[in-house]
Amino acid sequence: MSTLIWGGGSFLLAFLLHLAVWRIRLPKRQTKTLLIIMFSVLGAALVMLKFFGAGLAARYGWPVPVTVGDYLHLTLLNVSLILSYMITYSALEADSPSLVIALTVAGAGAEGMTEDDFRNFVNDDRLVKPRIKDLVLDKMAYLENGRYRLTFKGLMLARLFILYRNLLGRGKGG
Amino acid sequence: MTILRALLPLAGLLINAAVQIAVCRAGGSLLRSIFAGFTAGFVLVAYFSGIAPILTGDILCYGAFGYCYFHFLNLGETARRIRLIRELNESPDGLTEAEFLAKYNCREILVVRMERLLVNGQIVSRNGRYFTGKPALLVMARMITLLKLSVLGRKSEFEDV
Repeated sequence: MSTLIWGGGSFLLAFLLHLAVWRIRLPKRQTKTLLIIMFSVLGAALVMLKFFGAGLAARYGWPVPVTVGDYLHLTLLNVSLILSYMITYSALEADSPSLVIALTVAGAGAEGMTEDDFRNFVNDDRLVKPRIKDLVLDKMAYLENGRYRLTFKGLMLARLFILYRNLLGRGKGG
Repeated sequence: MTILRALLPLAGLLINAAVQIAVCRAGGSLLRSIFAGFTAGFVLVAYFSGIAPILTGDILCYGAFGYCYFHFLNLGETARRIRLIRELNESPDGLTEAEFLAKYNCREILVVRMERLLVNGQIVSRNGRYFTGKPALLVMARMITLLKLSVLGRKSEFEDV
């Protein structure tokens, strides 16, 4: 029970804190800021439980983690929720072409739409160029003399996906 | 709780990935392999958790890791950023924006997605016009739009806050 209360609770608190920060100002590097908020709250919760957990249990009868395993279980639950949210958040940051197509077709109603209609809103300025800029913003690539090159971070990510796609026997994707 | 016991959701994730890779390599579709992997991991976690209060935490944790794994696979399949870094990885001298667009552009993005949506029945084509098919993707798109409005205060990345 302490896993659910403290693991889930600290995630919820971090989520509310993130919403509050976003209401004040949208950070330039949103993913990095989100990670800092989420893991800071988790760290603070773990430290608080370590030093005040026994007192909370004795005074209010709250379930608190006791063993190293309890702390690990709580941390795993919290990290799994953080990663799930981070992945969902990436879908909020950038418009997904498939979802845009679904909404546009639905918006056309009973008339439907032709492929030419799609070409009016689908262009490289909307679909590709912002993602190229994201590579630089997220430090996965850098721009030198008009040419984009991978950073170490980008290289590692590219190799991870190449390895995994080869393991699955699938192509380039995208 | 012992450390080994606490790691049960991660063991479930490992079984999930192993079964998913095996099914995919055996020729199963990506979606089928994802379902098979998730089910195998779930059975392991549920079996070793037993009917105990801890089951909820284990299932939630495993479910969240399973969700992440599904999206990791999905990123490799559809993410534009991953495709772009793969193109860069294949170009030791780097790429200019024009070279990027020659290798990967909106036409390819549109063609691949339209084909995928038509095959899955998410959109249907009649007399050269496209209409909404199965509503699942549309429901997801509306949920994401709602989340965007709640968190970012805008519907699209091209809309000013």
